[in-house]
Amino acid sequence: MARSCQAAEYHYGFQGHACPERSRRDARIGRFLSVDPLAGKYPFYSPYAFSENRVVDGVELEGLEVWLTNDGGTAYGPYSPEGAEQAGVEPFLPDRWIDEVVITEQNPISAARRAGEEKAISQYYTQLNSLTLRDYPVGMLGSVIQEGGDAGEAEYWRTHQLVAFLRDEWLNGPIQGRLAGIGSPSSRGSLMPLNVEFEVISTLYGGSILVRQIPRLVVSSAEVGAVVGGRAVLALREAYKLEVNSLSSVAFKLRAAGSSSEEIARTLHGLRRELGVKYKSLTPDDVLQKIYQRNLQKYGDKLGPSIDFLRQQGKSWDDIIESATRPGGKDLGF
Amino acid sequence: MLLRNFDFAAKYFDYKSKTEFVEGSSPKINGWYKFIDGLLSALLVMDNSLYFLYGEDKFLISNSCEVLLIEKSRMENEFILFDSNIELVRFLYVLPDPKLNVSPFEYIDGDDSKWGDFIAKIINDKERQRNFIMNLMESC
Repeated sequence: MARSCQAAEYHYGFQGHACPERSRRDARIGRFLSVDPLAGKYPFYSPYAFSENRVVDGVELEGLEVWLTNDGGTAYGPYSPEGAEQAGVEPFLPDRWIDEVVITEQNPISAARRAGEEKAISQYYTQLNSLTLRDYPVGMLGSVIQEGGDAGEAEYWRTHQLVAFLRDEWLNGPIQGRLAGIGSPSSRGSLMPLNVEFEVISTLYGGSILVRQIPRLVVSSAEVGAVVGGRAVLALREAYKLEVNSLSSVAFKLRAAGSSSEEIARTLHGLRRELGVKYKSLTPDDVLQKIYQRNLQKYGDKLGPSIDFLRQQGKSWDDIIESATRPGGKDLGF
Repeated sequence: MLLRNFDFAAKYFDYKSKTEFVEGSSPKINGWYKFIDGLLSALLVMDNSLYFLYGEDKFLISNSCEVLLIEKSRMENEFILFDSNIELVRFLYVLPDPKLNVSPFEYIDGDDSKWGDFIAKIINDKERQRNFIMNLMESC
């Protein structure tokens, strides 16, 4: 089932909601069109942002709160190690994974019962694989649309869709074993933390996906030099690249909706700067301050070149769109 | 005729009075400049045309102009401006240290910090050149 890009069709379905605030949110780019009623409570975030800008790993509950899938690297829920213990399930935690979560295909409580029902499981996956997940670019899997069913059930199925999708895509080989920003907060506790690597494994309960949360920059300032080029930064860099690349789909949707190049450029430029803020916040503060200082000196703006600055340098609107969807850094050693 | 410093956003150069000053706001500009070994080098739009300045010399950038960049070392490039294969000007410029205060999450292009690359892109890429002239004319 292919989904067209007409804005009208996005009045429902985004993150599985029937979208009660349909008049306030532009589902094409996952942002509010008016000020979020909770803006005063969370001044750090743009009052126009939806789900704290985490359209991929957070879901709004009743349009008012976001329930994130992880909290600073700690996983919660029955599929986390803690939750697995509570559920009486042995978590699968190989030594080589530093910070990981096992996501089983089935609810652990019912997994054992289902394990013996191969035929039913086969039908189950045939059904799941017929969904439209392939239409979604990497990095936006968390916005998988699930229509019908109550909220809890929708979340439950969403998780299974993601797991099935990742498993099949991984086995078929068209995507890399690393995704940025996928997530599926679930009332049943399934976890897909932001910035994850994943690996399909087999467990007692059949195919599962081992997910490792890509760590935040957990190094001291003194270690920054060693970390640049190191694994932690590279993993984050990969996640960042995927999120930046996913802005192409925003441009595509806006263009299909009739937006001008200038409108698209301004939108993407803003989104790209927000991404920069999000990822730069993972940088140790003393290094970040030096970067801000350099940007202020060079661009007159701590976040980098403004759109007027880029125009003064001879960039066309299409140039700005193109560069906003390109991670850059080629000449920076990344 | 106002030029903006390529490396310091708040620095401007008044071409007529030949004075450099700091300005907190963002006035409309006619081009960009950078001092190379004490000599002014600048790319600017004047009378709807593009010019490159180096020291006391002023070159009209025609369609037959082209820039060649030669990597002399990891820290230095050579800039050569030709017009119909005739060399007009040549100079060396220092490249910024790519590891200096840079995070992997930067929203910048390769020619953002390299003066020669910036000039070369505008002179060699005729579409970028048209945009450059048009954008600066619009802003003035």
